[in-house]
Amino acid sequence: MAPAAVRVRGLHKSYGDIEVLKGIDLDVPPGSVVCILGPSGSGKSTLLRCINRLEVPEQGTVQVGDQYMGFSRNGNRLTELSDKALARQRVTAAMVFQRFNLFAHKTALENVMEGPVNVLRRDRKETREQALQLLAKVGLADRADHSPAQLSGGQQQRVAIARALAMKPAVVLFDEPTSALDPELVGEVLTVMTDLATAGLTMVVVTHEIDFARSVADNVVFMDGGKILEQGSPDQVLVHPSHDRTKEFLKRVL
Amino acid sequence: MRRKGEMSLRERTAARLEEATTPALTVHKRRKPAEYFYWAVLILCAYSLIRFVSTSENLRLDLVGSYLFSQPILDGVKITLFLTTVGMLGGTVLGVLLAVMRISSSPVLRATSAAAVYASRSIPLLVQLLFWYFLASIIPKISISIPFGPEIWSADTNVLIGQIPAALIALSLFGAGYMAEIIRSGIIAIDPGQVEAAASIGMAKGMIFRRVIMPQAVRIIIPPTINQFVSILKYSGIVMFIGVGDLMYQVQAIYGQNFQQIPLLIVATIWYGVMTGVLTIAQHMMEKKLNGEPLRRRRGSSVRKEEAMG
Repeated sequence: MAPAAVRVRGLHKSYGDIEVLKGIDLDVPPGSVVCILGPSGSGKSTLLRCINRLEVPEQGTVQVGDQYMGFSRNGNRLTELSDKALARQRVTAAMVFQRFNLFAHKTALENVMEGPVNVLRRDRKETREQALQLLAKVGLADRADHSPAQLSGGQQQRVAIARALAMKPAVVLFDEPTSALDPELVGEVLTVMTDLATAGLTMVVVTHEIDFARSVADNVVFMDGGKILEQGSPDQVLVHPSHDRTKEFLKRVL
Repeated sequence: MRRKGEMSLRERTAARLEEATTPALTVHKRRKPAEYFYWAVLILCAYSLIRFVSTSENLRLDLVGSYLFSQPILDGVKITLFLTTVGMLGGTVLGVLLAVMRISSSPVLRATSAAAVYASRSIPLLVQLLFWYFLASIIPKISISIPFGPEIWSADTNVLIGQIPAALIALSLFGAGYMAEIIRSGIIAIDPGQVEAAASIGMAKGMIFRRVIMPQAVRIIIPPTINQFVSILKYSGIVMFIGVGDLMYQVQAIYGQNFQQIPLLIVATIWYGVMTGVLTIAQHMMEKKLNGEPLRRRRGSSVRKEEAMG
């Protein structure tokens, strides 16, 4: 079997006295799409944010490719990385946020170019060409020079996806990418995500869109109370769930 | 049964009849009688002032004209400009440093910054000014040496910190606390989501600060910074207490001899007014330039409409 693109082992995370993640194990095979479902407060977003280490877990490890996130490995010793080295490591796990988080002072094109030019030190002219191609891929070639304030929520989210892809990450983490959108704009973002999945991008998607999970996911993970209750194919988890909490949840959202 | 929203023949006839019998309406603006009263009061005040200024023999406006561009006054303006500009520069540099320390992840730096801001804002400017000017009385000699080792360099405090350096140190330290808070308020106004997004595409802290936080924070920082600049401009007049020849010092020196206090205070007011005016214009120009960048919601609403229709 091919090594996992993302491998999470024994992850624990607390905020003060509240334990949000109570020992998470997760494998994401390369080129696969994993959808994480669960009620709010179940720890889905925290798990995602621990993968690229925007949140620092107290216990457990996250591997993206052959790298231990936040650490350098020397034999059996894991040494914590400096802020700078950690920043550089995050490139491998790009993120798309619920609230888009585009840089408000830059145009759509500049948002996409920002990482490759300043972090990866790529040639500006070449990057520009690639960024324009990425914007075309998400259907926004004609919006390249618009600022975020001039774009609808759906368009902003598609720019954010292009910005993440520009880093050529090993995996893209989607944190409820359609939850902040008007209902009529959800479709355009899900279409782009479906295209990316078909093209073989490794994706971890926290979402409430059951239909998307059913048709696109290779694996569906159901979380509740900081634990993974069950995981498997969409058919297993969404059609024939074995756990009562999963059944209850699906009854409420469907 | 009749469907909801459909009118009966009777209702339709009534509606048409009402429309036919309604006379054409004309629109009249609301009258504002108070406005006439404000004008009357304003004109009366202006008339009294002009009459007083043109007929008073004590006012000596001719002196204002003759002193406005006199050499001592121009020298004073130069010193005031120099103290304000350099003092403001020093205050801003220290302020940025304190603001960055305040938002850092190190508790030591955060506490140090908070204490420095507190000291800077709580010690009166006059106290700071006199403290640095009289520093020589407690520390006669300033020297740099290797700890527990030989001395590398030393100088007499009195020579090193004369009037102008003392004034500059006092103005810089006094302004630093205020500037730190102004800059910090600009930084914390930036959407933390953008900072996370920057981190997620591999930016380290320094780069996030330079490329994401600061370009957006300056817009928020500029108006209060110019405000601070204007304050320092006027506060700088306090340096006359240690005998620095700024604008206020020169004005006082002149009316100390000829006893024409009011005309000379008008001279000072005109110069302070001109300098404040220049700063105000600079502020407007900077705000205009920054608002030209994509940050502003220029065509946001029209694009959204187009999107909704298309």
